[in-house]
Amino acid sequence: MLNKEFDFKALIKERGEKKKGFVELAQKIGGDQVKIPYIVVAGKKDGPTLLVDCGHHGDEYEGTEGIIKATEMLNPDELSGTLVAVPALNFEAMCDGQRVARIDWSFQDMNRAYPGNFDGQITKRVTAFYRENFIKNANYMISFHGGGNSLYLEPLAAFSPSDTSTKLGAEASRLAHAFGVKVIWADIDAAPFLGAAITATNEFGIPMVEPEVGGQCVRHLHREENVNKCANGIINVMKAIGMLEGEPPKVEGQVDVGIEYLHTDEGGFHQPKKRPMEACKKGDVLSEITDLFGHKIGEVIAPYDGMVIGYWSYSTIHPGNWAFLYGRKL
Amino acid sequence: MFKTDFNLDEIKKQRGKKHEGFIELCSKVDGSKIRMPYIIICGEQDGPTFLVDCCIHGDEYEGAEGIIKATRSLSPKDIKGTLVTVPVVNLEAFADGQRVAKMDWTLQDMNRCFPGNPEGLITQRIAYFYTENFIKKADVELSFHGGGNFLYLEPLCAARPPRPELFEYNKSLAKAFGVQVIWIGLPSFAGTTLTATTEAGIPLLVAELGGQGVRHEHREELVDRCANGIKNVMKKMGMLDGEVKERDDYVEVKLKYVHTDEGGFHHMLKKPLEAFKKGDVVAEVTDLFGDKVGEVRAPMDGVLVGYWSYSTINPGNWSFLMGYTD
Repeated sequence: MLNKEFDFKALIKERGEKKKGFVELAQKIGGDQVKIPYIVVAGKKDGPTLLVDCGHHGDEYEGTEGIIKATEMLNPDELSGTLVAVPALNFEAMCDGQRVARIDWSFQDMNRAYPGNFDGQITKRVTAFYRENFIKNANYMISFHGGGNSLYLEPLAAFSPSDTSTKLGAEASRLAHAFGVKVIWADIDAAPFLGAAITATNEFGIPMVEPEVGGQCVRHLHREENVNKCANGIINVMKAIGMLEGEPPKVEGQVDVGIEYLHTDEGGFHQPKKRPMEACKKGDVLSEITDLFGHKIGEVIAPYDGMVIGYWSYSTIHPGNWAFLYGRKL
Repeated sequence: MFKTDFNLDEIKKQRGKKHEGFIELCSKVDGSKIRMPYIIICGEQDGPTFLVDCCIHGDEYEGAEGIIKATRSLSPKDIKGTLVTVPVVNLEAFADGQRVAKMDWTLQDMNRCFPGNPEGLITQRIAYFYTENFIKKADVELSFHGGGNFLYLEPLCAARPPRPELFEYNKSLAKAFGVQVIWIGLPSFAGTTLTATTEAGIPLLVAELGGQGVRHEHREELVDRCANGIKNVMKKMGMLDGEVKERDDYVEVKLKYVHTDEGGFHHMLKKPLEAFKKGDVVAEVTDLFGDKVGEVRAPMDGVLVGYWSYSTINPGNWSFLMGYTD
């Protein structure tokens, strides 16, 4: 078991302070530690515990920078409850600029690794530690993702549980709508992955907001804007749950969507033909795959009427990879 | 040494024709081949041989797409001479989305390997093969690079003559390419393509366009600029009919790479082509808690030409490329 001395309740006990540090988990070959960074902003007044993390995938940085910015902006005197922020959960992957940590002999996607395993590979150990010590003790959770090295994603907020007929689902939906983006991913529970962080929040009955903001393909022009979106999103959710005074601003034109991942059959240059949020008809060519001589060797076709929410923005794509996140209005 | 019967001279004899295909160089572990793709347009009329390549660094795609676009839009009827293109020189790195090919036991940057070594590592062998079979048979070479996975670069074109008396001609070709920034002066590294073009005695153009940091909004525009740049140089060389419109805003600079001492989040404080003074803080590096851990200062007066556009940077890496004049 990793770091038996760590005590989350002790970490957040003192009121009216900010603190930061690392939880050390295991020694690495070079003598330094596998660790989890944290920033705690404990309000003067009591209130809920909001857990905010980024970096389940190590190449998705906008949420990390948004967390750093939000925690700098917050004054403990004005805060009710406790913000526990983990700016880079999969720290090994983040330092390596990769989605997954390469120190595992058999690669593990951390957002497929829940509930984790204290006796497994390091990614599963970090996941188990995080679930047991952080998630279990939170009342609300925001877990940031983004386009990373290869995808473009329209800024969006997903929520879980997706079933809004339950009290928990309705609350999660309310918080996602408060976050401050137009696109709301309303069926993330149906995503075809096992072991995502939502399995832990659902297990413990915690409303979860999962924003997707930023990526390398827009960083030259939009990094600062996207970091601000993340920072403001945290503040907005904190207002919505009463941790801060004030109301989150209303977002005009919000659209609730279901999202499906569309994979490409062939590899080559990926040539998107539709822009994000552009309406598409069933059968429309969403992208073409071309070879080194410019010949078309494949297409990705719209499976039904809908819209592009995200796409593989890297110039080339391998066969079987995600070409699109394709949405339909719910 | 590769066993291949590829012979550019034989292909060039077949005038008025487009040729495309792969040169098979040697076997890989899975039984497939290490290959080099080519697209060659032999004009109906005689004229110079213009060699255009991309992806000596595997993650720099805009030039490859520009080559494909240009060659598809050109007919052998239009061309005097021969346009020889290799859209991807470092195919192993390209297919892997990486700057360098990971199959070499000790990683080799192909643009530090020229003129190559026929008995060395695979990247060195390819550099040698390319030098002997392509570069030495060309009259002018245009080699595309770009920002790749991590850098933003203001579109630029370098003029790299094999000897000083060809500088003005070489620069006129670089200006014809069509971008604002003209990089004069030598590269900072040994073993670039310049080593081979100098040996071959031919003018070299190095164009830098694109990168993942601008691909969502500007990929198509940059691919077009690469394709048009090829045609512009061909016009200047007399291979295509038509006049090249010169710009009135060229910026001629030498370039210097400035490295960061510390790693962390990399924040660029200047915009592309913004001027700064010696000692100005051009970038800051912050840690996971937002605290500043380093600064990168301008070593001399200059302008920002490119920068590390990825969110994080490792210590010792390139923070920015600055332009300066003597």
